[in-house]
Amino acid sequence: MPASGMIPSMALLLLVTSLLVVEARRLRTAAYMYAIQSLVLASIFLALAIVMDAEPLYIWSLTALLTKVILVPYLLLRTVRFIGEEEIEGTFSTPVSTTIAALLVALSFGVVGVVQEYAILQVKVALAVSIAHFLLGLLAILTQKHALKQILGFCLMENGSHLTLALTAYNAPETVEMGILTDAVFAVVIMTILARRLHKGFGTLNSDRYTLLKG
Amino acid sequence: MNGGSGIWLGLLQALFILLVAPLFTGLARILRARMHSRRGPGILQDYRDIWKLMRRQEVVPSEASWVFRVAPYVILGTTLLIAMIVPVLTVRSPLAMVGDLILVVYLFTIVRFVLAAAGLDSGSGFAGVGASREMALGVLVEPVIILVLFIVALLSGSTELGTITAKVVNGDLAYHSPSFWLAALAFAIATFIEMGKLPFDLPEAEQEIQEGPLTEYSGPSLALLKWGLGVKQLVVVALFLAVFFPFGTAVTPAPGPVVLAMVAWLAKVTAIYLIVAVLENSMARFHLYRVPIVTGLVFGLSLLSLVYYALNS
Amino acid sequence: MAALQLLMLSIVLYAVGAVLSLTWSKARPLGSYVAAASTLMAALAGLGAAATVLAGGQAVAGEFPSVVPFARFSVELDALSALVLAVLSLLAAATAIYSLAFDRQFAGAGAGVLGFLNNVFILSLVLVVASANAFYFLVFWEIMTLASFFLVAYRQDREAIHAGILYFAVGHVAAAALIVSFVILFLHAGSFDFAAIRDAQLPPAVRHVVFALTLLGFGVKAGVVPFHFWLPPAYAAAPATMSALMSSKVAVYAFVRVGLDVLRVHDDRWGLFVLALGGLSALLGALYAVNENNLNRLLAYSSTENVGIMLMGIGAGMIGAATGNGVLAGLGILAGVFHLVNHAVFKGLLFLGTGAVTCRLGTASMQAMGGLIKRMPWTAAAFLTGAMAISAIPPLNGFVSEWFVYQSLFAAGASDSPLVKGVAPLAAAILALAGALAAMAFVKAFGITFTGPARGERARQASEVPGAMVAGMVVLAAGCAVLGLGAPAVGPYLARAASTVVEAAPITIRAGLAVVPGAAAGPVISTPLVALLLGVLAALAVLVAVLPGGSRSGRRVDESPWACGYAYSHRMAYTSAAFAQPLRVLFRSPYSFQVAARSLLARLEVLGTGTMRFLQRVEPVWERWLYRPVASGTLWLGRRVQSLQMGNVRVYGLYLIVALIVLLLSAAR
Repeated sequence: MPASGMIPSMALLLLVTSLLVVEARRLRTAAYMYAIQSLVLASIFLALAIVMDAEPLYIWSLTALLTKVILVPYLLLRTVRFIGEEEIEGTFSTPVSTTIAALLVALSFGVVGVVQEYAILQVKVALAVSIAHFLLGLLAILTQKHALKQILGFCLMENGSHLTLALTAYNAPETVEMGILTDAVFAVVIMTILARRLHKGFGTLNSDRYTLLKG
Repeated sequence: MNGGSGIWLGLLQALFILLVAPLFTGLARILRARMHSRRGPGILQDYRDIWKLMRRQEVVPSEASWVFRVAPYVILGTTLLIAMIVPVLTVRSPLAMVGDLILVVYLFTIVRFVLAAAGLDSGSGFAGVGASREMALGVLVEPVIILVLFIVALLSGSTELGTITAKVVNGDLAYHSPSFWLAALAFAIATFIEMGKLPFDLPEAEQEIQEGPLTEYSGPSLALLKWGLGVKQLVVVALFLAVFFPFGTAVTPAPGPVVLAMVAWLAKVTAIYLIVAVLENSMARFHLYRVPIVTGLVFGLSLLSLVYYALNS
Repeated sequence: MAALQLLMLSIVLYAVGAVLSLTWSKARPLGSYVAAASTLMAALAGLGAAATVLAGGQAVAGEFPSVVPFARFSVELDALSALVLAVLSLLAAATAIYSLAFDRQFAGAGAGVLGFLNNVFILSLVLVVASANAFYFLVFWEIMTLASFFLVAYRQDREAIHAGILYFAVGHVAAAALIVSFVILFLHAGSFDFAAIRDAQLPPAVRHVVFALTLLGFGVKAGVVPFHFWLPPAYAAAPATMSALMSSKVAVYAFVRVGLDVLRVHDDRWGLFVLALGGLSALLGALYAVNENNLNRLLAYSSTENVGIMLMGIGAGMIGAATGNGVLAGLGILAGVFHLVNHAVFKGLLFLGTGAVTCRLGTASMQAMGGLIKRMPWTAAAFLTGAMAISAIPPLNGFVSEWFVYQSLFAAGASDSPLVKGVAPLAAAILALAGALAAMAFVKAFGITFTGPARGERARQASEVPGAMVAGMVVLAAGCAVLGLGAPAVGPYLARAASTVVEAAPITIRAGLAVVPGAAAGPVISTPLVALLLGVLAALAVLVAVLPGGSRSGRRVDESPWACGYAYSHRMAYTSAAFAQPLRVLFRSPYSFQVAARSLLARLEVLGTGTMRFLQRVEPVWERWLYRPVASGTLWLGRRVQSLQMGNVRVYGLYLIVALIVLLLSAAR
């Protein structure tokens, strides 16, 4: 099968894994799912590099593999080991949040349908998915109460914007890409440190309990 | 396919599934035992169980009425009818002139309805729990099954099962379509739930979903019910295979290809039972109220499939 | 003209039946027999009229002398109204036979009045169906509402009067909407005749407004979801015969007639709206039905569900009509009308069965029932038939019409519009969910009522109802089987009925022993073959059980079910509330919505508690419904404003996503 035929499937696989990240009950599972998702993201970069004949995307793929498949999940898993599993349900039940997710996907498809610049249909799908993915990450940050889940939501958002960037600005200088990646990694580092401090201070990572912060 | 040969082929399918059903329930028992480091019974144990029960006297609670007595026959008859309609051996459905996939889904409803009614009829509290859970599980699973099958039917242009199978065999409908593989994934999980396996059901426990309504049964009725539920399990798998993995089925209903199709089908089902056994034995029992988490995810998968279908084809 | 004369005859005989039961009620039992015979003959004449029209394939129109100068009393029987007339007559016949014995429990308490009201009710329904003039349509609609109000309040206890007055209020909200819409139409068309309105050039805005009003009026009367609250108390209070007749859901027919046939609103947005309304009604109706422990109330909620299913079909048909998809239009309307016919038959049957049980037990609460299958075997068998039909168990009639709804949604899913393509499969999933819930509700209704141990003293001593009541139920049970197994024979008439509304040639429905959705090639279902094969295979199962010889050792009837070694007591059997428990946990939020609906109900009931009590309650009512919401609203607003600055962190993010979505939506425009 040509690489172009694979792109829509891989893009949707990205959405499936993000559903799994959000809905996974155990944090370790969620972190592993995030690693799988980043692997899919790296392969999408590879496929796009072949389809759009864009050399910079090979490097994007490799760096994404190193940072997002290995480094970020490692950081997250270490934090989980440090604070232990704590099961906190999200605001919405699974059917409701998956329905919202599907609506967001439909919305993004509708938006991309208006953009005429992309001739290749498969790339259009990938762009729609990237926007949907960004929104899904945002949704996870809003509806999940567990601080680590919120960090994962941030990572999902970041993956979405990364894909958008790869589709629209892959010819930008490498420094841009490096900037994004270090930004993502350092953000996760800082946030996991914050999560550890919060855990120490409150004994829980349920953000609904952080009422003491109210001024 | 013309009516006459279709009926005979359908009967062959039904008989085939009826005869191998205890084999696979036996296989599941063995695999389970091996994973628990037990030796387990022989693979033919379920045949022996059924034969033994068949020759026993039946004991009926005084509260029970004819609903209780008729249920085993209706359940076995209904599952056999499904076995006749689903394309198992040939690409075409043997009984395309009888019904489509909507009929098949509603035939499964008969099984549920009768099992629950019989459970309530027995007057036993345990049977009542099982009946209630059986219906609640149906509420959770049936919408997803209909949604997934509807999307696949829309992709292939007909709700007739043979048409869908033929399109998948031809390659008109293939896994590089995101709608199709998402639907397949969703339906695979739904099939797993419908098979009554461990995270959702504990088939050996008396007060559980499937065994619950069976609490008061004994003798030939129990044998028929166990057999019927075995056939139901196999038919659910057959439906999954017919829609999403029909490769190896015979294109023409000639004896040679049909025998080959039987062998291929047995191999596919064995593979599925192996996967299911691994999954089943690596998980602990779910609380019934946790099932919506899984069905919610399945629903999400099918919604993604639907969105892709609606916007891209 | 034969059809019209039969219709005349039928109307006259209903009137005679009404007068006879009122005047001869003292001379029991002869009087009641003559009255029932008159009603029965009227029903047969109505059936004859309908059959003549359906067999002839031609619409029959005529005119009766009018009493007012500005409106002609024109009547018309086309395939659609003939079909509804037929099912109405079938219900009338069954209830007439049934009431021979049923009305005896009201002897001395106005059984004659009951017969009179029943006849007037049927008469007005028949004339509503046959009217081809908006003015007379409204007149008979009002008579129907009035007669049914007296029937709902018939028992005259507190509960019945509350229900009656609630029903009256709701009926007049509906009537008001209809009067306004017909007056608007009169002003534009210059005539009340449906034919004239049909030909009139209406401005689009008027068309939409009038359509919305008719949808409101008929929707309120049919009990679609925001207006479903009046059904349970009304059905719980009304006599069983009346509830059965009300199951004909003439309001849905009237919606199809006025909204689709007369107004010809061909707009796919209205189609989607009706589809969504139907889906919501089907889902919530079924959810509430599962959780009811009173048989009459359970059936009432299930009526909401079934009206929802009808509207889903009709909505799909409207989408088809708007987009010029003739097959979809025909299929959708056919599915809706077919389900209307089927619902009348099986719900009528279930209400008669409930009536039989309540007249023996004195209550409709399932907590006091159980084990009746042994004491009332015929009633149980009839009720089971109805319960299986309403749960869409093949090969009975409920399955066939739901199959057509699925097929119309399938046809909609294959259309061009992405929105419709996405919505139709979702609607199918909602229909499946509602179907699974309905199956659960009716397993419970049948299982708790008729099987298991008796849960009360009167249930233990119950006996079978008299032959006339059984006969009435058997007629409708046979109807379920005939409409199901005979679907290939009945289908073409339904297709013709649907085609009168959408102005297209009837779609192909029949292929040999099977029904097909519009085209001979493609999916089919053959209910006769399903029945045959199920019978053969079940017989095969019997054979498998008999051959090894276990049955030779006989069957031992044990004293009681297993109870972990303790002595069994009937209190160990599962109860109706426990049966629905998993759903109360799984669907928490819709049930809180039900509580909200109940409080709305409480509010309307206040209106009906008579002047004195009303005056006493005026103060708290206003406080409760005006002042308190304002006060709490202010507080709520204050708290929200507060949380703008120091609420949950995640709320800040919410503003972000809302702004983003608004932005994207405006971009998608």
